[in-house]
Amino acid sequence: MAFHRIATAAIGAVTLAAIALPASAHGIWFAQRAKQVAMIYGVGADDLDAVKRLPLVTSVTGYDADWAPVTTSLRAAGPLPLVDSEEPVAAVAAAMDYGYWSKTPDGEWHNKGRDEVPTAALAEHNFKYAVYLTQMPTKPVPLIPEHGLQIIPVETAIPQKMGESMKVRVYYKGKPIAGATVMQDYVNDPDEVAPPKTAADGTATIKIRNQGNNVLMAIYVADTTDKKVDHEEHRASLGFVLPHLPE
Amino acid sequence: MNMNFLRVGVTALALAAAPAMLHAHGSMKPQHGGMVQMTGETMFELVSGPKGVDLYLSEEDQPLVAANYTAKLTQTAGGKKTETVLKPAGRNKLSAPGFRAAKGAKLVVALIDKGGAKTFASFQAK
Repeated sequence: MAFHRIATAAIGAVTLAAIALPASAHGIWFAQRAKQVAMIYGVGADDLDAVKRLPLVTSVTGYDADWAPVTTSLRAAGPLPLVDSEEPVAAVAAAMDYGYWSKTPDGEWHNKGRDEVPTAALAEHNFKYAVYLTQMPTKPVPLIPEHGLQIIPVETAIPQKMGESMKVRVYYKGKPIAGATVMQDYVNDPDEVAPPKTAADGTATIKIRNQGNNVLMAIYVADTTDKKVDHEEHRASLGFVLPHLPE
Repeated sequence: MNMNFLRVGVTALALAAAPAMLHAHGSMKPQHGGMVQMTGETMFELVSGPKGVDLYLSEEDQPLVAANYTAKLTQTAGGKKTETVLKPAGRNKLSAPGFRAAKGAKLVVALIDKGGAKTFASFQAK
């Protein structure tokens, strides 16, 4: 009986914690779903409703292996936004303006700026970005103009074995940025302890965690002149797949 | 000694599983003398001849019903693109009669199922 009460209380606490999870904790990335590439909104294993957030997507771009643009869009297919392109894409990218979010002292988040929530303890403007390499790049990953924050592998060739190290550089508004956090496995380790931070030249070295889908997530809190918020939070994923052994 | 027994057991299991893994999505051997490519688990076999281009579809060695798909074939040769529709032509076959594939051209098939899901397969014409 006592155990039951403790378990119930624990589950309740976890549920409350999940509800209180700030909007900024969520990111976007791409992943294969039933042979298609889908845009995912969430954190960890939470694969939330990305279709209802499609109006917040500000750009979708696709590229061939030479990084030439390919006409690409997202289309709602049931509960998933799927990538639709005119030709095969070697990479796809999306940007999302998640808007103003203010947190009041009671822990509630409101989709408004400080101007409308004067009692807010915290007010921020959230931006989310995703780049997904559908195949291993043969040319350096370029900066995508629509993305305020972006992770770019320093070397063109991405290591092919889980556990190997990879150096990445994080760019904010097109320039290397120091102090950005780089989470190494956003899907499987969303509570990563002490993730690497970028050095003065914008680089960080990460360990590739999965012989499968890898989602790195850079996070950078930037100053802003926008009086409606305290700062901007930019969250940018880089996704790629390491191949498994031949079947 | 027990560890050795365990190692032998694990090896035996791995060997037993291997043949199944090798053909998890079906044979990659062309069934119609064409070029083959696997995308996801869908096997595309493209046959190019003087009368046109045919596409055969299968998954895990089972033919897919061609009537359930629409398909487009894009040829890129010498910087120029040409497109044609591949129409269902019975069983697992879609055809573009009269379409001539240029030697060395890049051929991309865009296959769309009734739900709108699109799958690509790329070939280089011989």
